[in-house]
Amino acid sequence: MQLQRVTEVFLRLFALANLAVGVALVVGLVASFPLEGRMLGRLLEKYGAAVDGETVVWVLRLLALVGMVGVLLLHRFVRALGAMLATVRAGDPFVDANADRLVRMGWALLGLQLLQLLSGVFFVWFGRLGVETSTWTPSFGGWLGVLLAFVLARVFRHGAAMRDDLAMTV
Amino acid sequence: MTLTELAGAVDLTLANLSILKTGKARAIRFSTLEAICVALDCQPGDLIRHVADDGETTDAE
Repeated sequence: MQLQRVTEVFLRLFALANLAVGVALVVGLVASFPLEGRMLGRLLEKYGAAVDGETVVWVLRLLALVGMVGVLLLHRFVRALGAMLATVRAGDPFVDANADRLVRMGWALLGLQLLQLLSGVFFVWFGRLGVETSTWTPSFGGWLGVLLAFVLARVFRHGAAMRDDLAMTV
Repeated sequence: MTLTELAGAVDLTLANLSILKTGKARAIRFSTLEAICVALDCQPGDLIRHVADDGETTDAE
């Protein structure tokens, strides 16, 4: 029970942190328009005229949009996981609703994996624009996570059916 | 014997016995079947019968 409580608190904090990142991305995107001149100045200062500052700023805006999609997907994932935990606490986790939640979580994870691939495209793009970036490596574990979610959804679906049968066994 | 008395005799809740009586049960444990047979001094065949999908029983005459 203690572990359950800790997990729930952790999930709530994670959801808040995720939403905070989402808000920061929206603020950053909106602010990038009035502050475009200052951003271009900083780019010029760091890279000189060799870098096309305006394109870099637009790519950053696109990256912020991609980040927002990621925040939304993560939010869906965390909400579904929280709802599943609530059913565990209620003592009846083998229900069809949890199988549906796992399917939703699987799709959210798949979306996040695709965004991770897309972020690789951005790294290449930044590289071609001459902007320094950290290294990017594909996340193989994430793809396993996607598979795991869909497999677990099927397991839960069977579990829910068995649970129903058991409830009606005299 | 009333349903309540039978429930007490076979150690089942009245709710579960009602599920069995109304035909809503999906399955019955051998232990439950045996307990009812002992309480009512009968055979499983006296309690259950097969009904084909078209509604006709397949009991031997």
